Amino acid sequence: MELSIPGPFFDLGVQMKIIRLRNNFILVFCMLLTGCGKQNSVSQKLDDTFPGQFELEITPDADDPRLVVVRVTHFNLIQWQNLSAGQSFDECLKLFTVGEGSSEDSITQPVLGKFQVVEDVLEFRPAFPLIAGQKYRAVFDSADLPGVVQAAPDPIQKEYSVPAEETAEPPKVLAIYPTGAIVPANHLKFYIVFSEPMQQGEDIFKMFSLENKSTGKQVPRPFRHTELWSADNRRLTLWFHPGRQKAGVNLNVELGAILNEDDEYRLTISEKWLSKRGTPLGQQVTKDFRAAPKDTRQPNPETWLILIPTATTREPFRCELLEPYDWALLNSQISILDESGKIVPGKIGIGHNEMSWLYYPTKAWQPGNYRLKIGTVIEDLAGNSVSRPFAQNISEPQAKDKNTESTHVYQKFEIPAAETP
Amino acid sequence: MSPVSRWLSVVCACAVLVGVLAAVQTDSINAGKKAPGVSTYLKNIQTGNPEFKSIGRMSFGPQGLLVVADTGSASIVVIDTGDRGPMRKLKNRVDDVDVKVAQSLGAKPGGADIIDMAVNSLSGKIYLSVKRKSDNQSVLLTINADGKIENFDLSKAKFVKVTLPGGKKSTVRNITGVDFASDRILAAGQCNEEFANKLYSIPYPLEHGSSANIYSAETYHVAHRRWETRAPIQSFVPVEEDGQNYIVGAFACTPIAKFPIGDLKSGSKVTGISVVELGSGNRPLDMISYEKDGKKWLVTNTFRFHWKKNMYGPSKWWGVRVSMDYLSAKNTNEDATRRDVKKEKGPDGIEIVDALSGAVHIDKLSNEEIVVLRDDDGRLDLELARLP
Repeated sequence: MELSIPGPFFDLGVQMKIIRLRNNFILVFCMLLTGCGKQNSVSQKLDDTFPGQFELEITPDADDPRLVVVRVTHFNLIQWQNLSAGQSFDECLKLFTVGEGSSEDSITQPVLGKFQVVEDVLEFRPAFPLIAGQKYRAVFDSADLPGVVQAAPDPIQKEYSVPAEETAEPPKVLAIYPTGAIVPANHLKFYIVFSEPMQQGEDIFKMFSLENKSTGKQVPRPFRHTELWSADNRRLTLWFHPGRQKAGVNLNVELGAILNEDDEYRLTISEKWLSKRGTPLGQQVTKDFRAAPKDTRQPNPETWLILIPTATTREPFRCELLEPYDWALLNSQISILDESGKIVPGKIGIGHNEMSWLYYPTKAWQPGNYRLKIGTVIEDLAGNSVSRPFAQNISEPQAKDKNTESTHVYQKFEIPAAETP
Repeated sequence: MSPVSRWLSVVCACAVLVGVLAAVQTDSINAGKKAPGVSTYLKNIQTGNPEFKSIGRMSFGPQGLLVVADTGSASIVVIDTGDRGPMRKLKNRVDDVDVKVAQSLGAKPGGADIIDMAVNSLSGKIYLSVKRKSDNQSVLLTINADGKIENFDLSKAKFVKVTLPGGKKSTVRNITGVDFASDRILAAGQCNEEFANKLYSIPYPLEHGSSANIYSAETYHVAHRRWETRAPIQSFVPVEEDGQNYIVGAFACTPIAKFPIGDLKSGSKVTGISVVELGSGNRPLDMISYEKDGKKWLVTNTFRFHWKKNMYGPSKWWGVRVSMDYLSAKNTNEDATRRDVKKEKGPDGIEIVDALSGAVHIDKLSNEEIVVLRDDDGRLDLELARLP
């Protein structure tokens, strides 16, 4: 078969013929043509024993099967010699995501990635790791290969299924805060703590529902659709829509508050929610609670009851808060300072229904003066903080007296020397 | 050399000299009017991967600079895209862009979330911040004039990253908006513990790794001249008026407020007083401003979740334009101008924009055109629309 082969490589007067025997053994014959100075084209006879023999393979990385290389090879180097940098291969080689039911119609957009020609191999590497458990199909159509010498009659295909991640325990909801069964009718937020990172996105709000058990009806659109995850992606802060909890705001006026005093409610988390690994929760998680009267009072640390631990022991320090507080802020906003102002090393514990704050010192307590340091952003369940009430009636002349500009307030206490027996 | 040739040589040399002089002069004239370079905005530019933990909202600024929020690390990243034109705007509508985006990331339809969209007004190229659901992978994609989806290779990005005060300990875990103002970048953030909402101010030039000059103000809203609460700014746009810089922002339940950027001082409290009410039960999404026939307009698209009152139009996503004149109004709060929710127009200067029906995201290409990512019965289409 005679072919006309244009291209810069041949302009140099070099012709190469490669015969690939099975996989890796390559015989290369290089012949210097005498036609130096010949321009534009060279005639060459292709080996008829390997007509249009392109090979397509998807090779996963040995350590991570989500990382793959799609490779196209051909027995004849001529196929590749005409390729040059800057040519586009995205028409000839495509990797598709195969949908459920594998309908051809559902496959439209190829996976993004990078192409390169390495010696006599065209390679495609997806821009991002493939998805565990997902099936892919590579399609190579040599008719669209730039500068193709001899196209194969039909496109060739290869499929690859990324192994699903090992079946592990489904994710769990470890806790929902507040843990108590009674919240004020102007309750503001829940913390949901998962055993592992969950899938994120606007759709997560479909995983939550709130039923008014007293009326048997679902509460429409109670949550603020703003994703607020902790840095480790294991804790979600789920807010009731503040606009419905705020007096005087249009939503509150037109739609009313989310919770009615004395009604019973059930918060449900759907069993369908997938972990980041793709495993569903598997079972519904619920939290039942009753709405108590609204709470519009600011927390006042001066009312807290401090139980002094005994010197020379590692008894926990205990502070009774007299009402439930925001669990996350109890963990981040309170510490104990010694006489020199240094934080006493230890571990925080939160008591029943987030109504007490405990501190387990690393070393035994020493007699002396201490201070409980409290961040003024600390809130009760209705968003009233030490620094200001959730909603402030600025028409009241004494309104500003309720605010504090300080970032912290302090409660002093003393640990007396232990009595000698 | 013949006398004729010599004469021609002299003429040619003179012509070249005149050309060079003209070019030098033109350059120096242009230099006087030259737009500020990238170094005006960015300092200590890095080359590599900004390593987004959770890619979020974004906006284009001058010189093809793209500011992107990384909610996962409470950081602001400005990428020098190098995309400074020429203008090649989207030729045709791209259907089912959400499906195509998911598939291009190796996911099934529905397997990726388009977090935000921004258009480069120098090139017309459209940028999408995307998260793949299966592993929360953050991705920056572009769509060119032919509607082709491409990966913006973040591994070799030129960028500057600054972390908001508090760093890893920061409770700001959602950045609802970022944008370029004349002398700074602004970012609105919400905390995941205390009920607090911050507006951050980051003056130019942004220096990679430095949080020294960043400060925040808390945002409040007053309802009925009586109830003052902390309130999140859901979307905002910097505007300039008579040489003064302002922020026009929408609170989460759509009252629109305006305040001078000069009010943003470290630790200050910024209280937005409603000047326009678009109707309750709306979640504002994007905001742009534009000028036409000497009149300035604010355009915003919102998602309507009110279930008691009928929506105007078939889609839950709708858009409105508001004359900027209203934003200087003295009547505020309960006297704030309210959109007539029963009519397409009204009062004068507040109009529903038909081209924004279904608009999930919008961004401004020019004073004539916007890019719209539009809901089409659960799928998303991308197209250009004319501004009224």
